[in-house]
Amino acid sequence: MNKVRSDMKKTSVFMGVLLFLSACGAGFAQAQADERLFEEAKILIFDKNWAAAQEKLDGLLEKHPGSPLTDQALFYRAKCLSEQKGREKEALKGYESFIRSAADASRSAGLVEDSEISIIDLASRLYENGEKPYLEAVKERLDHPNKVVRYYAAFKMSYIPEKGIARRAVPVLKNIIERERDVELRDRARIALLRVSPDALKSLEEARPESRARLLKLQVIANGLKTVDVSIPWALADLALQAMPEEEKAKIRKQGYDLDRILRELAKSKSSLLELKEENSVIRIWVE
Amino acid sequence: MNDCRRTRKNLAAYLSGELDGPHAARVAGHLDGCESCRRELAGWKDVFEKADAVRAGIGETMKSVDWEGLSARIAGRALDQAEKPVRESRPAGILGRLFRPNLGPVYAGIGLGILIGSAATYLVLQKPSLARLEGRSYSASAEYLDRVELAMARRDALDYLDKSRYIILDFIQSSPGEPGSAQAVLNSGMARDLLARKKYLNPQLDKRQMAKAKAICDQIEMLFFELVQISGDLPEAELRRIQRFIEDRQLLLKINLLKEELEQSEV
Repeated sequence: MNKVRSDMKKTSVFMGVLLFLSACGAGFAQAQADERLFEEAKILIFDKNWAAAQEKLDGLLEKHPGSPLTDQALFYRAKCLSEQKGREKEALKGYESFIRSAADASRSAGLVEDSEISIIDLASRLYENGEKPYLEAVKERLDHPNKVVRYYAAFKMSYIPEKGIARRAVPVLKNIIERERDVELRDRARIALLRVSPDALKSLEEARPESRARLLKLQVIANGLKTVDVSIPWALADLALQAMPEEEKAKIRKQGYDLDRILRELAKSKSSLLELKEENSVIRIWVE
Repeated sequence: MNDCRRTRKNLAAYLSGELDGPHAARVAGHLDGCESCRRELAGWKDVFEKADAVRAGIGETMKSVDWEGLSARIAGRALDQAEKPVRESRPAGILGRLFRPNLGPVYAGIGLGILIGSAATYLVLQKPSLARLEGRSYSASAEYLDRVELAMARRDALDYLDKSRYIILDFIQSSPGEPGSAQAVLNSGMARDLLARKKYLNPQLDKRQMAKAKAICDQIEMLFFELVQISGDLPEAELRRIQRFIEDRQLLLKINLLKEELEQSEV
């Protein structure tokens, strides 16, 4: 009797182990399956094969609803949609649902930030295509707590042709110029402000004690007509000179100047005027 | 018939809003019932619209004229005219008396005076003084600002590629048993910074001139997305997978080639 009981006990332990192993195996197989799908989708995304990648991600989300990769899959799915023409609205919704689902996951912070930026891009694109209410999504983000999102919304707003609307970006752009330490961002903000409100930029530059409101002036006159007439803050001088038409840059080089030398000479003296004359054209560069 | 004549006489004033209330109402009333006058009105409208278009064009042209240089050019032309030899002719009557040979020194003096005056004017005007050129406000055409942004995008893309290259090199050089430098890159948050930077670059990279740069920068961005997802220690298998990926896609070679092209010219 004891032997029978002991055999039964052994059998039940064995069965339990077997069941546990098979459950683990099934879980492992599922984990492998969703990971494999995700890897395949990412390679397709890398190669910009958006529709095929989206299919893989749809499969992952449908077959493995509890997968730890769900958040990332939602993000990449929205990315795939945003790259397919005519699917902007779906993409926007996709990003919004990812943000909701990943709100608490700190490891997804980068992807959440990127989703906010993508929403701004998509909303701007929809606005340009005549879907006016979508501009709200950009406007709202001018007050976003994340400064990357706030800055991006302001830069994007500055491209809107209706100046009255574009000027909503002015406070954020001014803030970037005044407070941001990154030179690259400050330069971008200056250009954006120049596009939207040159007067606001002027008062800002004049208020800076170190700048003494220096201003680069650049004129190109061909056959009596001004083909270039630019007044730009000194901080953007190098970019403004680089942006000159290739033909004019070639003329400057021909006369023995390069852009660095021009900047050096102009920086030396406030009163210097560089005037390069050719048969039918004149290039004038000076600083005020 | 008389009504038509009176109405047509007032059509231009009617269109430009110069007629007072009763007169305007009379013209409007007549137009309601007279097709021929309505056709005449349509003709006037056409003329007005074209005049508006021309006015806008004139405004643009006036703005683009180099007024500072104009005086110099006029003076230059005057000088050219003054230097041209006077054609010999046979003077007669009053002219003949005016150009008597004994008045030659007087005319020579006047001619010399004109020449010196013109030359002085030319010298004064040919180099515009800074005071006259000064205008304190900022301005640049939208087209020029686009060019400035493109120049900035080229500069920033070069910087982005440079920094990305260092990160990728660190990953390539780390050995699976000792992922020190790759782990340091992950911990430093550099990939995340570059991801943020790329966002600001995107609008310019979307432009035609930067299409090639965009393709490579997008690939680097995808790689960085991968890296920022890794939290804690970098598993050996993950390091090997990323290394294989970088090598398969020849990312470093592509970055170097693109940098070269960006430094040389527009991409």
